[in-house]
Amino acid sequence: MPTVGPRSGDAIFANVERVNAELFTLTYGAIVRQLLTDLEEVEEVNKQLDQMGYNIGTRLIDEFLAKANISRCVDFKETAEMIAKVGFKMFLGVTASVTNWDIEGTCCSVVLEENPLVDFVELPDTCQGLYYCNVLCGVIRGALEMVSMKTEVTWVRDVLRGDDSYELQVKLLKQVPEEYPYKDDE
Amino acid sequence: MLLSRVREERSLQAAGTRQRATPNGCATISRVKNRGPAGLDSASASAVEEEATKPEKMIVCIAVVGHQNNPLYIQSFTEADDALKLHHIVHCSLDVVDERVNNPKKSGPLLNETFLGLLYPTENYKVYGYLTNTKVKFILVTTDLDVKDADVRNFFRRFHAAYVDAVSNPFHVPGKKITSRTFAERVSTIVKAFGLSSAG
Repeated sequence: MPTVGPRSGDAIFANVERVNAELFTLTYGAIVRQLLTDLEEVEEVNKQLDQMGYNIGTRLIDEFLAKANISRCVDFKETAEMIAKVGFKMFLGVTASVTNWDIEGTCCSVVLEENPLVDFVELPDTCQGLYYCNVLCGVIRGALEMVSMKTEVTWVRDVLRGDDSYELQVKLLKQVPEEYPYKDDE
Repeated sequence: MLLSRVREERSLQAAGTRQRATPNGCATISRVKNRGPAGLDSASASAVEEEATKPEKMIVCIAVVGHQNNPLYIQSFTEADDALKLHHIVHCSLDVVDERVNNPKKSGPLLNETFLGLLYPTENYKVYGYLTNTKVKFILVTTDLDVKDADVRNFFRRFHAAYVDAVSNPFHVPGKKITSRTFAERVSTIVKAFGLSSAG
């Protein structure tokens, strides 16, 4: 998709405040370690990371919309491009690409070549099955839910598990029309 | 590489040295307690065959020893026969390191991240030491009788970088052995590069 206006995210990335990448990586690593120690079950940790990501995403979307200064997306394809090009760039400093669209245009893959969360990380054998970056799934899910899209985000490929890149599958389940909190007749 | 290492570890076991088993079986370290009272533990290497294009100029063994002289990582790059001898050499060199640390010849600023230099020349081997500011020691045993100081410093610098990356892994427990495969690969790359560069 051709990028229009602030779609590239680079300009915004240049203007936002930065944090030291290693500090960020080590902090995230500490979170995952602590979760593993507390919960002990890899599946539980995956769920918890997703939930944490969800909480982050619901708040992050406002910052994203405020800083990115973009207009409403026409369709889900544009949404996915936004996430990959602008969102990831703004918050993680990496650009992702969108591939593998299905026929209806509701399911796509977001591919990350590099991922600052996993610098220096090697999964030990006791933690196979752990989706180390599961927080990213939650973030996307939470953010999209706040803009009325129910999605399902899962990992397809994960470098820590031996694949060559990070691939997220983002599937749009349904668009939820906005509900007004008050009933009409009150 | 990993498989032959495991085989060598088992042969070390048969040789009667005590072994400490690691969870995933790589980088098993056997301890040869020669000095009881000092409580020093030596780190012995698991042997990996390295093609000796120039057998005279080869790194025979490298070891990472923690600040309590506990072994963190050992790798030897030669045939298994010498393994016990290498144990002993590394072990004895730890004493020299402690001596140098406690009685610094030069004062003050040179104590941090010290390249300790030649620790222990024997008839066949030279042993070099490097101390990080967290008191982690890197020991290098080489058969190269003609090695340049700058090469060794360069080696240790790169080794230190690899070590730092390995230790930054959130799943690495400080004080436990380094089980990172990436680290092992990087180390063999550095060792090979050293062998080639000092072959001139």
